[in-house]
Amino acid sequence: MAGYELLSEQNLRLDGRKADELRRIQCKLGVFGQADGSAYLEQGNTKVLAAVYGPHEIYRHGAGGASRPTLTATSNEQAVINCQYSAAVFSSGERKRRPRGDRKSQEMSMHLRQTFQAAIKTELYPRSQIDIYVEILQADGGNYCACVNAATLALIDAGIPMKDYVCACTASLMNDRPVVDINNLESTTGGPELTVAVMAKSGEIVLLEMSQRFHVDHLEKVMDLAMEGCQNIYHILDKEVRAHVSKRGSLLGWEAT
Amino acid sequence: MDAQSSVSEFKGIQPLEYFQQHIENGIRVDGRRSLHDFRPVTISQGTISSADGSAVIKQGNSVFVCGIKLELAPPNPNEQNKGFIVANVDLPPLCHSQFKPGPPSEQAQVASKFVKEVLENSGIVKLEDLNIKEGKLSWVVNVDIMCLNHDGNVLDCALKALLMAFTDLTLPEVTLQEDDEAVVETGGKIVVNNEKRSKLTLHSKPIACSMAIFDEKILVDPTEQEEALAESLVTVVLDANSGDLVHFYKPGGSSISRQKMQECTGLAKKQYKTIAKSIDQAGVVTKMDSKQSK
Repeated sequence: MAGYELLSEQNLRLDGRKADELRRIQCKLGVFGQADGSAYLEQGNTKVLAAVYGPHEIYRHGAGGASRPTLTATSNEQAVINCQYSAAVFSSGERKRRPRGDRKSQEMSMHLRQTFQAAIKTELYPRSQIDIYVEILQADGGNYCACVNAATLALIDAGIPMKDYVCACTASLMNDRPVVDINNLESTTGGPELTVAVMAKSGEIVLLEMSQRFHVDHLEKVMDLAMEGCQNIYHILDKEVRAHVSKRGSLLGWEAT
Repeated sequence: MDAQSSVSEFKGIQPLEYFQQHIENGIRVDGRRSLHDFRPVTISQGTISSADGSAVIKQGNSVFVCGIKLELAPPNPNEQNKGFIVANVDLPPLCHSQFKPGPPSEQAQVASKFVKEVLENSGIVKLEDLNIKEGKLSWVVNVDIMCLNHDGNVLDCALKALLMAFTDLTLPEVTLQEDDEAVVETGGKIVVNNEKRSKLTLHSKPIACSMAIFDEKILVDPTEQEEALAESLVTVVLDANSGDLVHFYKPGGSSISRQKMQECTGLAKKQYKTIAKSIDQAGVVTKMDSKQSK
């Protein structure tokens, strides 16, 4: 970790956050008219846009760069989830050659699909398809998390029934101390990165991924912090959804409860 | 049955008739009072800090983002004193349900070609300005325009986003330390000073004005729905600095008379100054309403 003191003696990080502090999250539902549901989310300097189309009939033709399951007998019983992760070529420090279709994007698309396959009540929409498109406009670490959080909001905006909110958060270990929601600099120069996506209310884990190694004794506290981060994100998202619904509702003449 | 529900029923059952009646009365479905009115435009610049120049433009419900990334490369052996501009327009499946995941759609490719031609024809950036050291090092300007919400008039919006991103663009100072043959290949002696950045001189200001023709009437700045119902589309690009015609584009559709074509050019001539003025006031979010027409 040449040159960088990732966690100072006062337990402050490079961007001035405390170890257990999230980056600032700003989000908005229903940003665009064309999609059935859309959301914009900023997590620190990571900016992401999510759009949801569907449920609609299943498209038969192939798709490059999108992660979708092959059509099987199960598509007669439940909805097919189609996810595409794309990062604008100008979103990161180096210009990307292609916005989607490379291995990293494919992997991200697949993870997103698996996450939402678990969260959406797919059995309610047999023989249909739900498209989730996410676009990273600016990348500064925690891309997967920002995508999951934005896509959750977009799905809520589209009115698609879900079992629960899915919230995702990263955590890492610096000087044997756990830190939450790491940014790009921390993830490239620092140690391990643990990504977790959970059903916020039930606390069940949907996706868990960890890169690099650390002693298994540390796992517990890193997990705890990541889960706590997810809970905090859930409260932010829920607040925004409630504010959005009451604003929309008041336009339609609903009584605010 | 109240008036509100009968209107929405009419719209649902007879969409074309609904649309036609609006046009006959000289108003637009989205509430514009004249066939020659623009939708309000808001622009913000420098929103994407990872790009060297960026702009977001919102025209009605159409939203476009343009980001410019710079790279260094040795110049082309045939044109040793020139740099490169690579422009690309992306219409991802996120922006409209008509676009499917997969290779770029035809419309996106056509838009990319259009932007490329306008860049070349208008001479907005002199490729010589992008040269750092003759025969050794040049800038590669990668311009990527992306649609976030597609509600018609892709070409106008793309060009505006491009223009605003170019105005925002700054180039870092680059010095070659030694006059060595191997400089470019090794890359070790190139010093990029990101602290000291300078703007690029823009030599023209291409402004596009798109129109849709429907029942012999010209609709300026069509929405996605109007584009779908229109008989043909016309795009006129004028340089706001000199008043020169930069590009004229009419992709098929039903044929139009010479007179109609001149009418379109005339309309574009009347409007481009207003558009250019609104763009000048960007940075702070500006709102534009064309009060000139009619």
